[in-house]
Amino acid sequence: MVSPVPLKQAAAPRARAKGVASQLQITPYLNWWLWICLAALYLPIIIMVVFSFNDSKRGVVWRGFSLRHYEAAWKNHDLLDAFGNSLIVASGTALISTALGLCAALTLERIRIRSISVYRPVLLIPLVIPEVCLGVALLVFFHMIGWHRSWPWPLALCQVLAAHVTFSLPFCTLLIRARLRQLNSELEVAARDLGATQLRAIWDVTVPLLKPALLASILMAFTLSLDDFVVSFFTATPEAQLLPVRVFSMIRFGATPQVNAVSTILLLITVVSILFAALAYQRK
Amino acid sequence: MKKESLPYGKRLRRRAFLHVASLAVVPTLFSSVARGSSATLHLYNWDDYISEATLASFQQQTDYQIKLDVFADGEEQFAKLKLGNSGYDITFPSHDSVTRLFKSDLLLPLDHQLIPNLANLAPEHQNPHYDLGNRYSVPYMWGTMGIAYRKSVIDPPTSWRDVLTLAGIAKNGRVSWLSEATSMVSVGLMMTGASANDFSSASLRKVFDELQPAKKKVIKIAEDNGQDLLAAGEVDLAIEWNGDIAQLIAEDDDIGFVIPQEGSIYYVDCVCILADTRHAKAAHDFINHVLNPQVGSELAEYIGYATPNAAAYALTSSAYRNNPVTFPVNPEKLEIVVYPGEDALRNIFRSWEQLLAS
Amino acid sequence: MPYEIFSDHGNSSSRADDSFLAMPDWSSRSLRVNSLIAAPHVVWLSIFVILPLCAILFISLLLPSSATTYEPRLTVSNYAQVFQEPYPAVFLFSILIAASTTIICLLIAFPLALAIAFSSERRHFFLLLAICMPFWISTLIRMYSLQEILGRQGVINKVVLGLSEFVSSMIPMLPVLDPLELIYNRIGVLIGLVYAFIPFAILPMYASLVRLDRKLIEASRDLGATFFTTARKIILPLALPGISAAATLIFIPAIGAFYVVDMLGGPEELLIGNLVQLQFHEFNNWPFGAALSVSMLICTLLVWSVTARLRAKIYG
Repeated sequence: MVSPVPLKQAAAPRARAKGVASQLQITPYLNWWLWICLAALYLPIIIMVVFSFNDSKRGVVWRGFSLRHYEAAWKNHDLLDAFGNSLIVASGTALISTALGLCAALTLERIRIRSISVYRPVLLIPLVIPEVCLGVALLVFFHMIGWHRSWPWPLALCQVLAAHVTFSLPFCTLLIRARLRQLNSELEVAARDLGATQLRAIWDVTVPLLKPALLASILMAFTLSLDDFVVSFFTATPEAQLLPVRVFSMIRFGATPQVNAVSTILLLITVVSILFAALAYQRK
Repeated sequence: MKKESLPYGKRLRRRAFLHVASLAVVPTLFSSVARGSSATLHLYNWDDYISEATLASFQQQTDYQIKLDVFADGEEQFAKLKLGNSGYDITFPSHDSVTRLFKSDLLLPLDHQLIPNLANLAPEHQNPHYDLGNRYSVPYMWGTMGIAYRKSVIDPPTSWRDVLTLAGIAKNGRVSWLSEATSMVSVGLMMTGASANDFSSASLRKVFDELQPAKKKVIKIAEDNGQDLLAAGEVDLAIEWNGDIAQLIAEDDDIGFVIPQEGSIYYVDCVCILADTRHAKAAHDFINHVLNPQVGSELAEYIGYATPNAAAYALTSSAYRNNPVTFPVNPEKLEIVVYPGEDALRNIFRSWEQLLAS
Repeated sequence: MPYEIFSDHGNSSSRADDSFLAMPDWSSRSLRVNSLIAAPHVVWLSIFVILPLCAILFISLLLPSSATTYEPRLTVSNYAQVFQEPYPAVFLFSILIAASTTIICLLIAFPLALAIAFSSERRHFFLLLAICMPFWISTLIRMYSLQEILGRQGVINKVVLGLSEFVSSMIPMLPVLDPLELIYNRIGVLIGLVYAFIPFAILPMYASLVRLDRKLIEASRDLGATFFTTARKIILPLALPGISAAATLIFIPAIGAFYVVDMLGGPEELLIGNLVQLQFHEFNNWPFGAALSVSMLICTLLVWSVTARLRAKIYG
């Protein structure tokens, strides 16, 4: 038998949540502004998608529907290489950053030796300084230690990988530390009382509890690395071309509508994966 | 009720693992697509300065893949190569950059035995003054700089003053400049009546006194894409290299090109091998391939610049040979720029940078 | 807001006062395990943050050379050069542009954040998704699409000119408009920067507004305040943490966004980021480029410390 109580409780919040906006009587204006902004945000994207099908070598004059830019983009080996490199570097960055971020978060939260806490501002540095400064600093540093060599393909990515991990480290630490603070630390103490060593206590108790934060950190580092341009621009080598740098090069030199085609494909991939993730999330 | 074989958490983990695993496979697929062959030659070239057909024919004949990187102007090229171990095998510097590069020990001396097609070069391009004996370089294309304009909007400009001075721009309208400091300064010097090679402080001062106020009216200082701005109607006058404009005129005949009355600079772009290349033999083969008459003629017609390869020239069409954009009608007005030494260059860059930043 | 997490507000140390068992303090425990956990990120930061910064500091004190990129001779001439014309003007211009971008972003994003935060709960996720989706495309590509819109023959001009011609054909007295100059000038750069950085404005402000206690607004309405008074006295002060976080998140990257100026700016627009990039990629003058970088760094740290003081005041 379903009791009538739940029904009553359901009614009350609905009546109360009439909406702050409507209370302030600004709903129409706010909504108006919302739609204008959304339109302005999406206009360039729509233009880009539309013109990726434009049958013309340059410019914004519509000359008919054609898929030749997609063909050209598909045959553009440099572009595909760069895309592959970007994915590899992004995956590597995500994993390494998260691992290091975990260490950093644990250190900040648990270890209160004074000499270690000097690293707190150091951790903040890649977050605070303009990316140009970081890119330049890494370029100069790599050159001075003689790392600017043209290694064969897989190893050549290490330089860019190191650079990407460096600037995504603070973000990962931030995410993991936020969650770590919310954790009930008594579980860990309990594990230790039950005889676990310190490391096992962390590995078996804390880390599983941090799983959402770790996942979020992986996703965030992946996105940051994939989208990064400035640091990649300074630290890229010919064997380690990344997609944004390659796209910038294409844009600088008589922007071909190939860029439109590539962007549309990227947009499609992003939208599909986000929808996928959202659906997976909703299923819970 | 749905029967589930595994608890939800485990299924999620398995699904996540599959996603991650497939994500790891995908990028290697992309890369192996392009890495089917054994080795790669890295080219560092101007934009739109080599044809796909040339690269494709080389890749077919040998076992090498070619990857192309582009730069916008000579300064950018030198700065990148100066780092050493840049990762490139072949580059295409202008003749004054050739001198600059081999003085910095960045170029590999060529083994002429491996380049039999050197004989195809026209006599005036063999043993040039900027690289005696063709020790480090092989001439690729030569060209000049001029003013391109849209015929339906504006009358043909007659002087560099029409685009480089405040009065000229105010009269003529929308102008774009080139970002290469040395070339712009040289034509500025010719505009003030000096020689294109007179990089003394006094002459430079005169040039920059004219350029400085004019810069405010310029629409864009373009990095080798002035022709795109012209084509898109963003500017009506563009300072550009002749071959780029020849390519544009082939598509859009509302474009004209003039070399102003004061004359202009003339340069020879060359192919060079970098000293730290690991594929010296293949690089030599590539240069030989480019000097092949058939390849050379097709290349010349595609990119619209003047070829120094006499054998290739003989195979080109009359339309190409009679193109007044590609082969200027008054070649005596063209002055070749000589590498002035690092100190002079630093002066030029300093002044150019101050121009950009002001 | 994000940055306060790095401070010690509400840190475990205060909770340790409750009971020894409540907080596993490892400081007194085995040094080996502590070093094992602390080592990776400490080593990484030392190698890839501290050393590179020392490297540019060192290089900025060297003399530029054509032969070897820098000569091993110490000098402060590079910094002296930074203070000569025209570089201070470029610094000022960069700060001005970054500040303008920040203000415009805040003005645009605040009503937007209000609209999202005060809509029904269900719609939050979808609205945020809708807002954020364009920004999952690389910034470069978005700037490129702006090029196609803002150009003389771009979409905006086509629409405006079309309308103008139509109106002129109806009313012969009105002249046809000239094409709007929206690109290769300051307007283009501002539009580009705003478009690039607006999600950094929306998200922190949304996060801040969504935590606002609705009862306060209800109370204010009950007491008879108009919307503007409510906004001024209640919403704005309580949203200040979000606004300050947004401002910091926009201002600092905007100073170094050289690619926006490259793509959308004209000859008169030059940011410090552009100058630094030119030194390394065109003029081959590493010491001076490093000096400019260090100066940029100092500027940023100054701005950071000023806003930190402001934020400390806000949080109390």
